[in-house]
Amino acid sequence: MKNTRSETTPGKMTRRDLLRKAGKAGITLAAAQALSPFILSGCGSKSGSDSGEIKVGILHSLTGTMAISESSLKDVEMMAIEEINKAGGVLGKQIKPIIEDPASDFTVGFPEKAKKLLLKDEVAAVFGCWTSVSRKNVLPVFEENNGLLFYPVQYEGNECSKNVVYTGAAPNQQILPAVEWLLGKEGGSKKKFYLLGTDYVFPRTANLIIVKYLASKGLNVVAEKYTPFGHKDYATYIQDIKKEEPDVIFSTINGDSNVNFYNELASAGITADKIPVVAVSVGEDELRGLDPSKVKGHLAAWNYFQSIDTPKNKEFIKKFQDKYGKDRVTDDPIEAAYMGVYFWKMAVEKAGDIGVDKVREAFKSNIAFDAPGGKVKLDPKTQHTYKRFYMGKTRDDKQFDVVFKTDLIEPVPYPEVAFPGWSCDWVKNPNNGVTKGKEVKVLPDKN
Amino acid sequence: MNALELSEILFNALSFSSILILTALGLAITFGVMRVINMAHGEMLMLGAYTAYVLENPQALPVMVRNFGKLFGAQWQTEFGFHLNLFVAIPTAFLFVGFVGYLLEVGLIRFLYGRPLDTLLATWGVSLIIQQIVLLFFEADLKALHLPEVVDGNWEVVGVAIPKLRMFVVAVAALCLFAVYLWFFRTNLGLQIRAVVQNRPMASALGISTRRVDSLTFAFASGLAGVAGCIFGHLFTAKYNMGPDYVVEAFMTVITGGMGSPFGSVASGLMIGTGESVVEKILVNATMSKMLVLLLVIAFILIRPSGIFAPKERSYD
Repeated sequence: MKNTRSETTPGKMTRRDLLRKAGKAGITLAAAQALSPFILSGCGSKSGSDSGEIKVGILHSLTGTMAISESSLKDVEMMAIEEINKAGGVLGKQIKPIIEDPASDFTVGFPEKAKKLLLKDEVAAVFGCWTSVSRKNVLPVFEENNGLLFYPVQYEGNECSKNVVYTGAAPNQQILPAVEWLLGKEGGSKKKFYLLGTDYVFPRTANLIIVKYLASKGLNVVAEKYTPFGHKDYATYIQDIKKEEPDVIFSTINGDSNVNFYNELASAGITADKIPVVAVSVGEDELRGLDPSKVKGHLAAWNYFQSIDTPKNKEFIKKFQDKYGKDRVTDDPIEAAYMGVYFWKMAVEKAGDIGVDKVREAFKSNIAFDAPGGKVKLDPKTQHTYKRFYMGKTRDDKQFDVVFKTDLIEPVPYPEVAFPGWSCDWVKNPNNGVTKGKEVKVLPDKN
Repeated sequence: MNALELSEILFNALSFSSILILTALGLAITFGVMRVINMAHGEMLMLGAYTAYVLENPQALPVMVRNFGKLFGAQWQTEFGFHLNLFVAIPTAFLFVGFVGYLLEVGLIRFLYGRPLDTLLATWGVSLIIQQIVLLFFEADLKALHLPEVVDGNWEVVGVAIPKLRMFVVAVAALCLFAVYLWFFRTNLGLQIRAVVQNRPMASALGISTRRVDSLTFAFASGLAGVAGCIFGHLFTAKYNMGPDYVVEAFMTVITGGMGSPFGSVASGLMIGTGESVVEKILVNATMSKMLVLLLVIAFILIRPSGIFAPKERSYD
């Protein structure tokens, strides 16, 4: 082939050269992209559970933006599986975990890997997801193929799938108790709420619930603002907060955006006694990446804290740290993920079978587990978990002090104040558990 | 719009611009002057941030040693860790990342001159490798970087609370620009670089080692990226995948400013930073402001494709 490369100074290239190169590069990249699931899915073993082994799937991002949070969940789920295997396994068989990394690709990666786990590996259950985006995207896969997903993260409600077990908090177990506490005397009788969150379904729905709840108390929020994922620079927002003068900031900011947010807040001299921040997405794992002096006195609402002083919790923390390092911490999603594995084990043993329908039938036998944070129950009606509410204040040692706690709260995925007429009962209506109420649109921000 | 808001806009503009300029300066030199598309530029920034982490956080070395040991299946432990501060980290980041850049140039880029798309692919591959190496050694969690007392807190100037750290970033950006000016116009090496850019064969014929010039320029640009990353690690955060967050902005700034001119990047950094500041103040909506500013940049490039300071082919300035 004639060499058409230009002989002049480096950097000069004819248009034909450029187009040819670009075309080649483009086709290679496109082909690699299309073929990668097949090339990289490896030689996973085919049909379901072989004799002596039960396969389960672990679907968490181990790389990408969510790796920071989700890899801890994979770690604790592996730990739970090892414990169960050491104690004899489930139904006399050892559990074999198949780990898939969707690389924080919520829209394509997660459903693709979910499909692979359910259809190719034929796993009995999947422990996975973190962001509501990833969960929403794998939902059709689990519902169409009658799989079972154990979802361990607190979320915004407005969902009640028969193929998901929610071991994280529903809004009435985390968001609403937090707001109630703030409105009360112990929380400082706050009236002017500034809502600030990352722009996706969880903060949008959570804020919808908060706005409606406050409206029912005759209060209006001062502002409702959203920033994109990974947004770094909060200078303008802090200036806006100074202008609006709220008495509390309810933060649904996710991920590393939190670092600059708290830094800017501290730099502006807004301390926790002036305007406290109540976060629902900042736990012990996120505190590791924050400067203690910048988050001093701020609050977080969860259903578990590492600082809970019980022998069971101390034992759990010790096992986790011995396995993964002294600098590791436990937090609410980690405890919920641990809970999820044990809920599944207990249900399978009750059912005597790994089939999803039989396992769901076994939920009706009121599965209870002695979790590190205290005894919890699985609610067969909603397939959510009874959880306690804790309000924590940050300490200097990157842990939380518990300043308020409640007894077990029954989960309500559709709080009446925001979703009137909606309810969920899979026990009463095994085929169609969700009763629809009025259509609710999670509106885009009007500000 | 009252006086307070106006002053806030001005100071935000200064802060955002300085961040953009710092991010883009290294790339302006490699892309603008040497015409090398360095997709690993973001990772140079990230390495600078991690240098700061290793030097400032006593936990860093134990974590690194433990993960290094895991590679061989060993259980290495150490309690030793550095506990220095930001002002030591900055020059160290410059030297270390500069060295990494030097290795990159000598080992890979030098074979790919005149092949921009190949350089693009190759450096993108290198960026992935560097990311994974850092992930292996330091794990996926965010690294908190503490500020020395001097740059912590804020100043009250005409009623506006300006974080000292942001003013420090402006100062460092100005210093880096001054350093670049000195480097290009007042040193022998700078003279050689300008000669090589103007007419490579002639410069080579006159006895200038073009290979040495290329390596040192790339190293210097990487060093600048390291300094930027070191500071951004404090202003924002240090994580193994922070590179891609910055590389897009860097390219945008350099292209808008005009290739071949680091000072074009300064102008476009100022322009984009001010645009962002004004729009964000009026709208208080980060998504909308980013979108509008990007639309403005696109419109600008359409009108004036070669950027603010379009390069004239045969001269450097």
